Amino acid sequence: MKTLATYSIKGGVGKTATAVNLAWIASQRGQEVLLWDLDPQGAASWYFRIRPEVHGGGDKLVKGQSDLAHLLKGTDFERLDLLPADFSYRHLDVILDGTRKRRKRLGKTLEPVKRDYDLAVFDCAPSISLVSEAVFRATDVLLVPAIPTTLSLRTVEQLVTHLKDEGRLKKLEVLVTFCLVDRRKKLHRDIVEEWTPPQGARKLDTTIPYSTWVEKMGIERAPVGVFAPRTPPARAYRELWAEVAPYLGIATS
Amino acid sequence: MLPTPATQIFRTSLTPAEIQHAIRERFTVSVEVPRSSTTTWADTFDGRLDGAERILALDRPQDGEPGTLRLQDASSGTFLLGVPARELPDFPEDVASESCREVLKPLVGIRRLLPLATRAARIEEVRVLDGESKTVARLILESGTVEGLDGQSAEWPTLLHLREVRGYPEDYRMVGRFLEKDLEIEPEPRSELSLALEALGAPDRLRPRPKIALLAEEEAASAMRRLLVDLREIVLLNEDGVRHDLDTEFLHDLRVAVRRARSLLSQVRDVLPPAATKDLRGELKWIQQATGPLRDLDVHLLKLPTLRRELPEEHRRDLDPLERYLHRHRNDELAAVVTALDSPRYAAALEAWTRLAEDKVEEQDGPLGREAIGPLAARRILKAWKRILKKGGRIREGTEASALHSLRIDGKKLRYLLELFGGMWPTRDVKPLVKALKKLQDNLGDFQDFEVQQDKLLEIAEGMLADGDAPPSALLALGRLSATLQEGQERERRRFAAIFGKFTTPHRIAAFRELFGRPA
Repeated sequence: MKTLATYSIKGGVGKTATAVNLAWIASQRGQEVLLWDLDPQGAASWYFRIRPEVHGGGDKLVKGQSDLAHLLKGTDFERLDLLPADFSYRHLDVILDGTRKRRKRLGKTLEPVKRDYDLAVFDCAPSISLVSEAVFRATDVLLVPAIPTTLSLRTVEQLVTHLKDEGRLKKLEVLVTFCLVDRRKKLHRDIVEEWTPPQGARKLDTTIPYSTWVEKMGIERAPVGVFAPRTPPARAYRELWAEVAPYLGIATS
Repeated sequence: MLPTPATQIFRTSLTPAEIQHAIRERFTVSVEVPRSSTTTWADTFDGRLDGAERILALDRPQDGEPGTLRLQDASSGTFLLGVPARELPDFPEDVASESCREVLKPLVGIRRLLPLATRAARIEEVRVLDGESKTVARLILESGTVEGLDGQSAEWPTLLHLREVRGYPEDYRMVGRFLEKDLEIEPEPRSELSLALEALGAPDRLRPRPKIALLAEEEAASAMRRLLVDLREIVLLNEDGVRHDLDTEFLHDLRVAVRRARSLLSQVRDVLPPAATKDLRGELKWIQQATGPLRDLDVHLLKLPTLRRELPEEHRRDLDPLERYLHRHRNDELAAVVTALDSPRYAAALEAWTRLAEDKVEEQDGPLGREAIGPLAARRILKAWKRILKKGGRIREGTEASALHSLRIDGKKLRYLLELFGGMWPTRDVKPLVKALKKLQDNLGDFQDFEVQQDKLLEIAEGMLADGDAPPSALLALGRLSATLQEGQERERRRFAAIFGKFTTPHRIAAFRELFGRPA
């Protein structure tokens, strides 16, 4: 089972939309996918119309005391399941802190189902915390959405520095993709063209445009590719998957 | 492993419209646009998937979009696999998904997947929704027609598939209860494939061929004829598969049937009309000879991956010219076999087989024709077995290889007798003896194979040189293989004494004598 996490220190950069759309596209392409909504706000769960609750809460889940099989929910889409968010995830840091081998806990939580899925996608809460540390440890590819503004890129650079200091970059592929790109703005165009990622990270060619179609996900409660497959963001997410998949060792032909 | 979501089939005479109306009254639903789909089921010629309680099907939407290849448990209906596919694979190797290949390969082996039936259906999907408009259960209504491979078609009953959505078991159960209690719709215990085959009038298509049950007191001539009829049927069933080169097992099964018929006729003599028997034996021998070279090539090609693994990794590709050689000559041999099967001589041989088996020859049966088959078979079995004891007992460390080859042939004769007639004795008694014989045969067979393969490699090397496709690296690889085979042969030779010893323990000998020395 490969793992992909969408992560950003800042909120509102398109993390969840990216996680949801990539997970859906991967499942449409034949992968068995599990999306774990780690954000206590439960946006990914909302998109899939699944109640953000996990029986026993985050506490039992990460301690391996829950029957994981009974917590997973099938989405409306074939080959795509969700491990929902739960409000108790807001305490996940504290919960993890109280466990042994706390940084390995998250990866271990999915151990019982690792043969059932080709890909696990973590939709992470925006923060630097024990949970994100655990995600960095558990994941193969860290996909970092960034808005093409100086401040947003500053946080990306901080993240990469932090990962480098923790020695995480040896095993983790860090990919930066620009989201909410407004091509009418020169600043956006210039940054997308000219920004060079810090050593240890890669800048992806695909960018996700700012689009009301993505905002409409909240009304349609489905991935963009379901209700607006021919729109620019739907195409962009497909291209993004094609670019990311090889880093996961997943063939896209 | 995660438990797969449950699924259940219901059969009903209600129309899809009536069912939808009833469901809407009770649940919040969303009805998908009806679509058309074709489903083709496949299995190997000998029903290996069916035997393993699996169903393989390709569902293709009418709009040209890629379909789904699915594998299900035949009794529970649970989905084991579902991967995108445009066509039914011929072999597991043809499937793109590795996990799918890994599941199919052990089930199917080297046999080709053949389409069995195709259903064209109108599909209406009803999604049962919760308060968030989330799908919590699916009902798929299907109606249409089913078609067999030879063009016959039949009406398809309206079926309801109730499918659980993972994580919503209670909703699944609720809908199930509604269907059974409120709509009085019966669950259908049989699989869709069973229903399809039944609709086409071929419910037993995948069942294994029933073994001929002989009765000990049956007249020998009658018993032998029944066996001959059965063996001839097997040949006929496999002919088309050989002609169209569907997979290598068709030829193998055809040859096994011919070999058994030959063995039957030569080992149980004086039962059927002598002249007709002799003539048929001659013709069966011709069929074996005509199909032998192709079978040899098939076996070489099947063994090639194993042979490659005998070489160090950096030399494995050196055998590529060998593979090319084998394929080239296989094409020629296949053409020769098809010519033989289409020849008047072959037709005449089968005709002679039919006449002998159906008692239509003018000659009288042999002097033992009216004897009871049980005691007669027992005598033949004992005789064959004693010959093995005697010959095998004479083999020492320095005895020539030909003695082991000869013993192997004797072992084969006993094996065929046990296969053809062993059913007249209790399985629990015969089985251990057959098992012990098999161990001996395996040892003798391996010993022979190693020798034959070495000879073959030399022949192949000469052939490759003649064809002008024999790079030095390939010849060296063949040389290395030959040395490995030599070692293998010596190893089997060393094992013979112990294995033969186990076959001939006092306990074993007593068991044989006891079983076949008494009436069946």
